[in-house]
Amino acid sequence: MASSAGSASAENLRLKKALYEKCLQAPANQLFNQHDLLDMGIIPGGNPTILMQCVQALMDEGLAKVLVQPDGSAVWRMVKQEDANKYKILSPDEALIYSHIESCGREGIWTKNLKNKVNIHQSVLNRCIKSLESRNYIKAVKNVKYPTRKIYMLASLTPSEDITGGPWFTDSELDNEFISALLDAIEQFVSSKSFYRNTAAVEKPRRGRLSQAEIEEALNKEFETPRLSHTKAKSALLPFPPGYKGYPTAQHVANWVSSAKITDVSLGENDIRQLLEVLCYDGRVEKVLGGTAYKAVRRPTGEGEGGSGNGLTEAPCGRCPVFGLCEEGGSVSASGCEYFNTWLEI
Amino acid sequence: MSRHALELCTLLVNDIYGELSSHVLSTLFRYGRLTISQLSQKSHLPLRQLKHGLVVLIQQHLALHYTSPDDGITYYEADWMSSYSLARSGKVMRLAEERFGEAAGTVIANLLTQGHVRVGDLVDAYGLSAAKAKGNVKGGGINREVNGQAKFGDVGIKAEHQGLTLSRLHSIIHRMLHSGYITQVTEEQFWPITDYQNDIERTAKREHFSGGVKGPKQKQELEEMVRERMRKNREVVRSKFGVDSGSRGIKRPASDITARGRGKRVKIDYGFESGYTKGDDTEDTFVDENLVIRVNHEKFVVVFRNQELINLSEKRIGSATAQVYAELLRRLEANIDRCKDNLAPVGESDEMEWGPSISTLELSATLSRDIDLVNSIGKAPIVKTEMKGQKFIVNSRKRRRLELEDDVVGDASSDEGESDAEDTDSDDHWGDEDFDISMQDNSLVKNQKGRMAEIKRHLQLLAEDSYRFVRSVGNRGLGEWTVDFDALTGILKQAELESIITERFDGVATRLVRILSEKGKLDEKQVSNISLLKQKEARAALTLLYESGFIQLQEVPRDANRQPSRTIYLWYFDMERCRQLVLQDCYKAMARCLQRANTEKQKMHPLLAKAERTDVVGREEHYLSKIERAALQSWKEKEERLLGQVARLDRLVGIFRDY
Repeated sequence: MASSAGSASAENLRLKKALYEKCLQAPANQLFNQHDLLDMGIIPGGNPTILMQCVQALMDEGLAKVLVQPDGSAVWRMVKQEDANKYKILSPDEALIYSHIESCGREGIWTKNLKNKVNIHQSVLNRCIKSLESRNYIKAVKNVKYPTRKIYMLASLTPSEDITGGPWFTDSELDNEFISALLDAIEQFVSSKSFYRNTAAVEKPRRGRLSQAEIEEALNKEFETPRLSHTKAKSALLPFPPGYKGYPTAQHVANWVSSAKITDVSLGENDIRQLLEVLCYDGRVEKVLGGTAYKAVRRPTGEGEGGSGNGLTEAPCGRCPVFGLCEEGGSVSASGCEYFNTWLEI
Repeated sequence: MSRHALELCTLLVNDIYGELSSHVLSTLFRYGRLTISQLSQKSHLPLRQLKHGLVVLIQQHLALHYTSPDDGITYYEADWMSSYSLARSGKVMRLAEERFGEAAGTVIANLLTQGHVRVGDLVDAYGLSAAKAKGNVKGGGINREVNGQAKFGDVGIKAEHQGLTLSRLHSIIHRMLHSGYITQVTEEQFWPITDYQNDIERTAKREHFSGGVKGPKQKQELEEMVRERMRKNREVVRSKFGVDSGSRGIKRPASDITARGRGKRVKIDYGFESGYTKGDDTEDTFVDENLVIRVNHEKFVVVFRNQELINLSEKRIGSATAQVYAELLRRLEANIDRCKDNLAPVGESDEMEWGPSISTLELSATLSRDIDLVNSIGKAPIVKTEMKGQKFIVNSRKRRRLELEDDVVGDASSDEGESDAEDTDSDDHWGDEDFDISMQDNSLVKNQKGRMAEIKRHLQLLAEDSYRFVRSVGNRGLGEWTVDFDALTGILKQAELESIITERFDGVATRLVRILSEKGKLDEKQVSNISLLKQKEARAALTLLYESGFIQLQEVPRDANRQPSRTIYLWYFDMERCRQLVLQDCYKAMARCLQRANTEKQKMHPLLAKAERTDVVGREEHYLSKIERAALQSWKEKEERLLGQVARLDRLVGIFRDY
């Protein structure tokens, strides 16, 4: 590829422009090899020499980048004009660093790795990064797995999920409140679909066809946020008949979460499944229908059952901090036990 | 036997049978198997006094004894399980009352206080003590000199008040014998189980292995033979009372009953258990007066377990379904003598999985008609298009049935026997599920059929629940059902343990325990990933759980140096260990409650002594001041609270140990 820019004639300039614009029409980041460029029919007669001159000119202006495929052949990627302009005002060192950061995309690059790649002295590297940051070309991000590492990526990009830790992380911290609010909402939704409520039996079974409007209304209703007033829930929580298949699946829940606009964070079905798993472990929801669907666990409504707790934890002994030391004749004993005193005075 | 159990049992015995007995018993607990002279030495009691104590313990089955045929020396051993059973006395009595009527409750109370009793003596006691005032049943006349069979001095049952006749009493005893709540006393019951086993082994060896037992195969054969014989002996005792009565036949496996079809006789078989008013009081069943009987705690435990399962099903599904389940369990009860059978044949485990079963048809005969079967199951919403057609049918069918039930409600309740007879007749036509209502004309049959379908729906609900309350084992009689008790008691244990953990720690801890019990061994990072908790939070909760012994930690070194930094730490949950842990805590807590009750009682001693004076009893208003009465009242409340707590703790012991 030894050629001089000086030989570029007016004709070559036109061809170069046409080639560049044609390539930009293709999807972003598409790679072109020599045949792709020749097949565009811009280069007269498919002359490889003219093509080479054009491409060389584009590369010199920073509008095209050459990449080497694993098999040794060369391919090119076109760069937008404004991105190319950025390079023009940068010093060579900065440009080098910038190109490395850019190549890492949404993953970002750790400063240590960057230093190894560019092989520049630490102080120079620091200066360059500082200047790039001040120009608002790059930004520092935090990796949730390695919170101490300094990682840089282009300022225009949003960090990938590997770095942010997925939807559960806000500012690289696990967002407990967000998760528990979501868990509660999902539990309510699942519970609203798991039991038959006497009071809610407004829909009468109808024969015949439904009008379009009615169908739409029914569909809207299905994804409505369930209102679960406690008085209502207590009135009757009847089980659905055996063989009932209408328990919500993860897909259902995901649809409801996105349509009910509970959160701005986009949650995939897998994220929802993870939440449902946690609900299972909390004993609030259980898997039914061979693990495909979910059903809320019936909570005792209070009468007779007395809620949670059992013989051991009700007695003072079950929650006694010095239960291990308690011994008749010892310093802690049942006859002088303060917890028993208060418990018996109730 | 643990320290806490020892403490608890000694307290219980001390409470009821006094200091002498409890002292002898605790010596036996602590030293194990002793001869009488050793016992006298260890307990620092003169032989004469010791014998007084021992005789009470033996009468109550709290101490066992065995005279070795080789050297003729008698060894004594404590039976701590039966002394623990003392804590259950109240529950056992109440249950007998519920099942067989008030009189049965007092019979059981007498049996409990006396240990074992000759039927004739029991009857005499009722006859003799009829006029006596009702005294304190608990502990009455126990610390007297007991001479062979106990005499009923001041048991104090108002026989006349309860309208007891001789035949009623016999009938009650017979019914309880038949269903296994009380049992005949045999000589072996006084022996420690090991001696009993050795005894049988000796005979078996003499008869079959005269040349000595050689090799592992013969050893196994011998073991199996011993178990077989022990089981047979047990069965003989158990089945005796069916044979005596003649009309009822011996205890049969469920399949025999069903093979005969359902008729009047079967109905009697089960009907007598459903409450004594229903039972046939006038029936002339007299129990042999020389028979010696005692309470069979094993059978009561079966009923307690069923009650736990019923509560669980009510919590999860609903009360109507729980009532259906209760009836099912009650019917199965007749074929279940004990929760854990350590004599069950080893090789035939396949057969054990097909435990006693019952069909929908059989169940419907005794199921109360007061249960609202129809309105306790919701309708499936018809939004689901794929289910639509089907659901409409169900709904319309149900509606029609509701109308029918209104029409024939009088008929249905007027004569159960008649409709039962029809069941038997029409059994064949509608053995399969698919039947068409419109084809039938008789409204009563229709109603029956609808009822059957409803019952079946409830049973299916129980089967479909993720706890698997029942399991379908066939289609006979509109579906045949059995209960997998082992799996269910596992669930009971897990549920109780989780509620303890939730109460002691918080919901997060329960979540972690559930994760660990499902996934096995996990490191901290995996735990926090699955539980969606910050690693710090997860670690804090895990450490707390670890400190109190609910979860364990395993170290897996990555190299031979075992450096902490190069070690993987895995958390895991061990149910068996937790079970033991909680069980010990329960014993301890029970002991503490009893100790506290004693302390409270001692504080009240002067006042109590006054209140119990013969001139004061019955005239408290006159002799006791207002303050004294209030103090007595508050003490009573405290004692009730503490003893109630013991009973609630006993429920946990049942779950974690007996079921």
